Amino acid sequence: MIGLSASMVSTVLLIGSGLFILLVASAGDWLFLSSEPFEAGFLDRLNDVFFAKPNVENGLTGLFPAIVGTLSLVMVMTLFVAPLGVATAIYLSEYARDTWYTKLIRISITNLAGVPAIIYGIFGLGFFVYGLGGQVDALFYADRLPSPTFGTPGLLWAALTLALVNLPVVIVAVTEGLDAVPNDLREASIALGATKSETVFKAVMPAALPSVFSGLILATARAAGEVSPLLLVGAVKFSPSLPLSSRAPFIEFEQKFMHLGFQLFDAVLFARLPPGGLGWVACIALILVLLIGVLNVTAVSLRAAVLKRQTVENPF
Amino acid sequence: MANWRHFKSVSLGLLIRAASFTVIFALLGMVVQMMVVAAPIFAASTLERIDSPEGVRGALVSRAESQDADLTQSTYWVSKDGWQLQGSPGNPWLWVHDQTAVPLNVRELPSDFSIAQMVGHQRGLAVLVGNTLEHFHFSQSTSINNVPAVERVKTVLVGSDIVALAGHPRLAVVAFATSSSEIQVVDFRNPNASLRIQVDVEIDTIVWVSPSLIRALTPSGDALLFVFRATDIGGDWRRLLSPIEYEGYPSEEYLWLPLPSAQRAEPKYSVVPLIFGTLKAALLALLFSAPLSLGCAIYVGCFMSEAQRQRVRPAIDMLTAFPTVVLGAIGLFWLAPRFGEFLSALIGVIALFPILAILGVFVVRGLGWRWVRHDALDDWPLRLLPLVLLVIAVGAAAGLSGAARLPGGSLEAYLLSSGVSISHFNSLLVGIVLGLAITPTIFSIAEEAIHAVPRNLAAGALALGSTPWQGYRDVVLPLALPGMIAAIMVGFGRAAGETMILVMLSGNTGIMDLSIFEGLRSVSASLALELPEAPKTSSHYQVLFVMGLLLFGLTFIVNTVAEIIRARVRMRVRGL
Repeated sequence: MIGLSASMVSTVLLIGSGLFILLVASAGDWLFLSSEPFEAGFLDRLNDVFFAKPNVENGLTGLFPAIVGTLSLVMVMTLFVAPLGVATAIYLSEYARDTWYTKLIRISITNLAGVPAIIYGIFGLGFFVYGLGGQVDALFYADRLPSPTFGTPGLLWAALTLALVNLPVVIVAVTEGLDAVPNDLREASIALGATKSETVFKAVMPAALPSVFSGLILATARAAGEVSPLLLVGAVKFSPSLPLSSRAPFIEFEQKFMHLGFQLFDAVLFARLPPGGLGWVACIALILVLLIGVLNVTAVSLRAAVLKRQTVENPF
Repeated sequence: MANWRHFKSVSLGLLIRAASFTVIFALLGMVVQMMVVAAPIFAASTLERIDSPEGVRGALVSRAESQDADLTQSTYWVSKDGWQLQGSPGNPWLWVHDQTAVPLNVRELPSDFSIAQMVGHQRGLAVLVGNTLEHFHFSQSTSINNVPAVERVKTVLVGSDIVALAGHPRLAVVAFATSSSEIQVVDFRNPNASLRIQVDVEIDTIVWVSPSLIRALTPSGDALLFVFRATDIGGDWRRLLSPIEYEGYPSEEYLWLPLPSAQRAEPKYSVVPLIFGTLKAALLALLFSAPLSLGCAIYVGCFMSEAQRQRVRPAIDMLTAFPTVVLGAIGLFWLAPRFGEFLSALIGVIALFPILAILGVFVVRGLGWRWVRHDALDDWPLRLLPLVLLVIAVGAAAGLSGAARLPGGSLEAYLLSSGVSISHFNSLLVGIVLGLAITPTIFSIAEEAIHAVPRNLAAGALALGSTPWQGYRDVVLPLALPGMIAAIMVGFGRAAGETMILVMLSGNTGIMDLSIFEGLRSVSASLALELPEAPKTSSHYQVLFVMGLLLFGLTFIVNTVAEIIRARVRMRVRGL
């Protein structure tokens, strides 16, 4: 039986690497070996796949806007999640008294982390897009009505929705990190005459910082792969311009944007893919997987670093 | 100086409180906001009188309109194929085709009626016979020669003193006026809740100006206005959950057709097929995922050293680096086109895996190879990789060759000959891919539960002479069992809410079929596909929010129960 369960672990590892190899093989086969649909050399082909104008009809060219869209979405989301999530975790772990309603809030937030992302998506559509967006339009963009500016799915609402999806995850991770900091540290700091905020920010936070970052990065990775809310609040098949601008704040918050996951969804279900479509799908999937994989590995190695540091340096 | 420091401390504390309260209120307010959006769907229908604007007299036009639609005079209904319906009190009803001009008797409709009116987009007819109001429905294709079939849907008892009657332009609803100056609205979908308003003048004509506005005319030509508000489920929440006998359907059914393809058909909002689909997909996913992930969790939690465990857990978590949209694409592009072969191979692997794996390990160790030893349990998964690869290959080959020997030459042909056809989008494929997606979740939680049980318990068992497997099976696993059940529950919640895999692989057909080779439609996929198209004040939008809340409630409750179980296990294990 030990052998059986050990082989199950091997099986899961095999499935994971098998899927990865499948994607790499299909993408590589299409990029390097097959001549469809490009005649030109390999470099031109890469250039086409990434930087050519996106082909609205049937794909195969122009992944760059989708990559930029994914990254800017994740960045804007992190701008919201990082301060709010960390502040909430600090409050729950350091400031809030241990009462029944604090416990209730903690349990609720833990459970909200397991609520499906599509639920946040419908909230995002109902509240951000139709509710807040409609208000913003009525107040600031009344001259452009009835064509909506913010009252329609866009980058800002998508980022806020994804932030809501990931806030519980971040809060739980950071709270756990803060709870793991030994109490002696806090007591020592207060005994030396530090104020509450000095204790929190100069004694406790530095000790918990790696776990804060690992939680944040994990949330970012999760956000990069989460597509279902985007079906409702902002991703589009084709957007004529990038959601970036040369003027401050450098990001066009109200724009619709292209997204790798949405491109994949659309390519698989709706586009009429010409020969070579399989390779194209594998390419998008591979880039997405690599992006998330890199984020995950960073988070995991950070966490490993924490463990090492805690075992070596923890004086208590 | 000290003051400044305290000021800083206090203000930072306030800032943190403000931020965290914002987040907590946003997260909890989310539920409230969704309830507010969803609530109007349950509102009862209402009828109220409004003041008609000054000087509006019952214009002759409206009187002419109403005369035109009044079947007591001359009467017609134009169906798609050029059929017209003629009827007058006392004579049999006739179908007349505009080209052949051969009248056909309509025996289903009573001839002894007093008033008849079209209702609901000319889908049906409301006929007043004595003191009962009968609702008939025309359906296009069920009869010979394309004569529209007529069937009675419902009979409602009303007073016999009705003087004017008008059918709602969109819904199966009629408004009528009685000789005792009462305006009534009867909803055939929910006939017990009829709405009535007493007025003080005599009414002789009644017209629907719009789906929400009724105009009643007095003999002298004065107009009275009434506002009628109703949702598409007519204020009856049971229409979401119970089987309904819809217009044109022979028996009571559960149907989810919010945007019927026939434009004039009534929208159907039974959430039951979607909940059925969600549960079916989630349970199938558990069927594939639970053995695999629990097997992994048992090995990693019981037999691995702490250092190795810290390496293997992230490795299995790497599966989450495959976002579900990628898993869905892999399922659709690589598995669905050759599903028959894949399924045959999978059956072979699942059937042979346990025997071959146990046998293989036994043989490898029997050969005396030093690299699979009991004192080096840490490295087994890696060292067994070639063996497992071989086992899987043998299993797949056996499955494929077994399928080739079936009568018909393949699994699909064999199933087809025994009356089961595999549809391209089928629940089994959804279950397999979804199972893969939830494996890391179940593994992670179950492994934590197993690992939390102190190892010295197993060590005690070992010291008493049990084998490692006996020690863990009889001592550790019983203690970790509730935690493993909690892991399965969390996995179930994750599977029930998963969207992309279901949108891409399930075919999104709202059928309630227990067959694992048929497609399904889940709540989450419906939300993702339909919500962007639904107008934001429509009943459809509100029903979708109701379903969102149902899904939210389901996952939240399942997670809470799992969390309580985990907390209790933690308490119990801590005492050991």
